[in-house]
Amino acid sequence: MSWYLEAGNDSDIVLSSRIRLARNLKGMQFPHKMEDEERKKVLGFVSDVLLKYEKNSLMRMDIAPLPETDRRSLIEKHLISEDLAQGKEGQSAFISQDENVSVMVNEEDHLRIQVMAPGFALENTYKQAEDLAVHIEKALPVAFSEKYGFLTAYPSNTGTGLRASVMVHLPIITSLGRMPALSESLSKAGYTVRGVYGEKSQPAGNIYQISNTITLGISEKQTLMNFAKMINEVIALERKLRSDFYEKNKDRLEDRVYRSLGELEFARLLSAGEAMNRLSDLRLGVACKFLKEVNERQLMLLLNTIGDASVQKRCGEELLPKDIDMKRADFVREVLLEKKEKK
Amino acid sequence: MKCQRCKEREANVKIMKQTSGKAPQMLMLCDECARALGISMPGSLMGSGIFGGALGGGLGNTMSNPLDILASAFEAPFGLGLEDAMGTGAGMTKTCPSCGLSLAEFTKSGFLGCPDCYEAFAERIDPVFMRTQMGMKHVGRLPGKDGENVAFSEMPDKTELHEVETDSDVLLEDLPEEEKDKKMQILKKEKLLKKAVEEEDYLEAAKLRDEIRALKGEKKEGEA
Repeated sequence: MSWYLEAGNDSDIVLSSRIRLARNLKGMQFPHKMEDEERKKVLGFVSDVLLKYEKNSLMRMDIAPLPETDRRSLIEKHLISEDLAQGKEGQSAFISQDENVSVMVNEEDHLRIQVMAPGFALENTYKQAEDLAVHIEKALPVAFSEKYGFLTAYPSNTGTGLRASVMVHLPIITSLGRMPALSESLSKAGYTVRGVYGEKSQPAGNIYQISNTITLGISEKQTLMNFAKMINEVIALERKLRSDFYEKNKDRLEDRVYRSLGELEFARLLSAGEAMNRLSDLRLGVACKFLKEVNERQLMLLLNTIGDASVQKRCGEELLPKDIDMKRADFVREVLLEKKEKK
Repeated sequence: MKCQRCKEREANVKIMKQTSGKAPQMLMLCDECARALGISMPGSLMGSGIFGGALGGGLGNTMSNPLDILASAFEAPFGLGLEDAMGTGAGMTKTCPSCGLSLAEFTKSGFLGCPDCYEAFAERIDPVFMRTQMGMKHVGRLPGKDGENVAFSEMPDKTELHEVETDSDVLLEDLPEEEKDKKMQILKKEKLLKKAVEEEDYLEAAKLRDEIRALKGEKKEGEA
């Protein structure tokens, strides 16, 4: 089963948690300065070590031979980055069976370890990532200095090399126009916020990724504790605004959510952005506990599988944009109606 | 106007440097070069789109006033002066003995070439770490060693937010475009108003209060 279909903590707001650790090999230049041959050498060094990791069996996936759709699909599943998707020689990903662990090789750094989990789950997620990092550090000499910690290609990651992030659904904070203010105060406190879906200029689905930016002069534990505390505040704010809004505007909110359900159940063409925005409404309806026609699991499945590349991949052929919208609408209907028929 | 750094793309980020006793210096950059120089800016100019995005289409643009970002421009992660940004300052020819990366290349891309670059460019990097990180000394885990127990047992209880205003129940997407714009302006001014009151700048506060009233279509105090 895919990791994101499991139930998580605080899942009314937090869709998923992710820990990323950056590591580099000692005595070698960083990937952006390397030629193909050198990157291949790095891949050779780390490949054996990663494939020998016993706690989680990782599968090696070299990016260069992958067709474009497969690369886009890995990006949509947050398993690789745009940078790795370039597929230069030696760029590779090592991915676990249920896709919650992935290690990118020769991205910005030689190694980017990433572990994801559903809901708000920083502690266990971090422990898994640390365990894999320790396995690597014991087998290979990593670039480390007493002063600057684990050294990274981009200096703002150095120190712990730890980036914790959560994907949060903040429909009411967004709708009330509070997002700019929230994002500004988070940025002052050392966190960044970005829209996850949709075009860069217009994120869809009210889903944001919040991550820490400080990695030097702070321990891993303190990073995680500060981060958790801050995310708890964001959760509390969205919950409070939701319940107040729902209390005062029950009819309006229910109307909006049910219209979105109608649209998703009957639409024949759905763009990714539109689908995300309507699904955001459904998530809100489920979280406010009045929408019973849909469950959280269906919504997580849809959120993770209706990107353009995922739709194409399921169809197994190259599709025109309008055909993607059609197939997407088909799939959304299939998932939403599946439950009804069982009833 | 074209970006002064890449001389290709259109410039839309204006950076001013004011040193007392000197004429102000100005640099025009495109988004991409600004980002490459590590100049972090709030809002849609940087494309991360929290402003533009969360508010939908056209609104983003109204927030991307270059003046808003001037303040943060010189707090760039790698602390670039104008000369450095243009790659013309003194000392920019210094190179890392291991990989040959020059300081000019580093400040241009933001990327170091190899682990030894940290020592080679320490003079440049340390002050930036002092400002943007929590000091310049690693206090985390050592390689190959198990870390401290990260259990959150002593995690503070879920915190209540310091303040939660819940008077508002107007959703942006329910408003027509021009109303949306106005609503955002009001929210922005209300925030400034709060700050002005905290700072006891009552002149500014009175001005903002009137502007908010005008936007809301309310009458000024004392008017019939």
